[in-house]
Amino acid sequence: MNLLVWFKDLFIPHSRNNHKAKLLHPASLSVVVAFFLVSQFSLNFFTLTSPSVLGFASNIKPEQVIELTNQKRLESGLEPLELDETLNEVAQKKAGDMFAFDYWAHISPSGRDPWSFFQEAGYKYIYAGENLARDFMNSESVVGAWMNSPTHKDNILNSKYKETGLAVVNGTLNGVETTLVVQVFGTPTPAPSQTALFSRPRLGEASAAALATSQESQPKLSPFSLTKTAAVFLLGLIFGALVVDAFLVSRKKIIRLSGKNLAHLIFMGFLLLAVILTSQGAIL
Amino acid sequence: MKDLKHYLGLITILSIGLSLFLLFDYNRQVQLIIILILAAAYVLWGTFFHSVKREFHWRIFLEYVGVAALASIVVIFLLLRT
Repeated sequence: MNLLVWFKDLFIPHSRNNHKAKLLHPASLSVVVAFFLVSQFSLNFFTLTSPSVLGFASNIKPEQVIELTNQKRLESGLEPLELDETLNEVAQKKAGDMFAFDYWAHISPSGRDPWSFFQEAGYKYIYAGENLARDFMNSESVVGAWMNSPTHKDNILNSKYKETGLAVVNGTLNGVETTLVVQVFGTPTPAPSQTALFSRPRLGEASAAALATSQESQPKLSPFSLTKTAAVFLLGLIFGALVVDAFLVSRKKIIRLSGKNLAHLIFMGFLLLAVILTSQGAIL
Repeated sequence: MKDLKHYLGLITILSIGLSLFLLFDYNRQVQLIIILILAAAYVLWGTFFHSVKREFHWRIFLEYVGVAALASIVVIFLLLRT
């Protein structure tokens, strides 16, 4: 019975909650925010303590990424990139370094830049570049995200690049199972010339030369999916409470000192849409 | 409809914001800034709207801050997950 009264107070405007659903009171909204924050920090803690449970299942095929890259180049009237084994090794080394030192960046926390991996693998270049991606569902979404970013697109459609290398590697980053995609691009120095003209490479550039490991991770609980579900539920709950409140206030012709439910609904609706349309995956 | 022009203004602001949010799908930092600007714009809109209607009260202001904070925090945490 008490639970019923509590629910009524929470969602139905009447005299006991000052004619406004209690869930919409500033104090209740603060509690909801606090609850969400606690759940997020708990999720962070859980990802660190149980990295084998939380993760991300992807289906990215290196050969498909390269095929799509070359398809974009052909559509722009450019020569396709050739897959190079040494560049594949470069991409593998970069991915391995990010997992080993737990970072997600073009330059490692110790200051190691992408070009050192080219040198380590013995790839002498005139031009070089690197595109990074993580946590995408499939090859199409990786290339699609790169093409939507002007700097990454510049790398894919750079006429100076002749070769490419790619690595798709699964591992644990910040305690979460992650799929990293590293695509590197390069134009080798002319064979006899030992005086390599090292131009300043472009971050976000790549062309796959060697197929790295095609890895399909096992399905796991994704922190992104969990957060998205919680976000949709929470915003949906408030949205629903606003609809009920607006309907009852209008029907009972209640006059009260309050913000406009219609405005709240419009704002919540737009942000709910933003949450729904936000897809997993990040590029660098 | 009463207050139509105010609501159209709000919808315009939010539509522009959502379009930019989707346009910068590849850049999480820009998306975070867009959400923060939208939240601030919403609070300002509410303050302006109720001031024009001569019904502004600090409790109403808090309500707009609460709604804006809740929605933006949820979106920001989602963006930070990738």
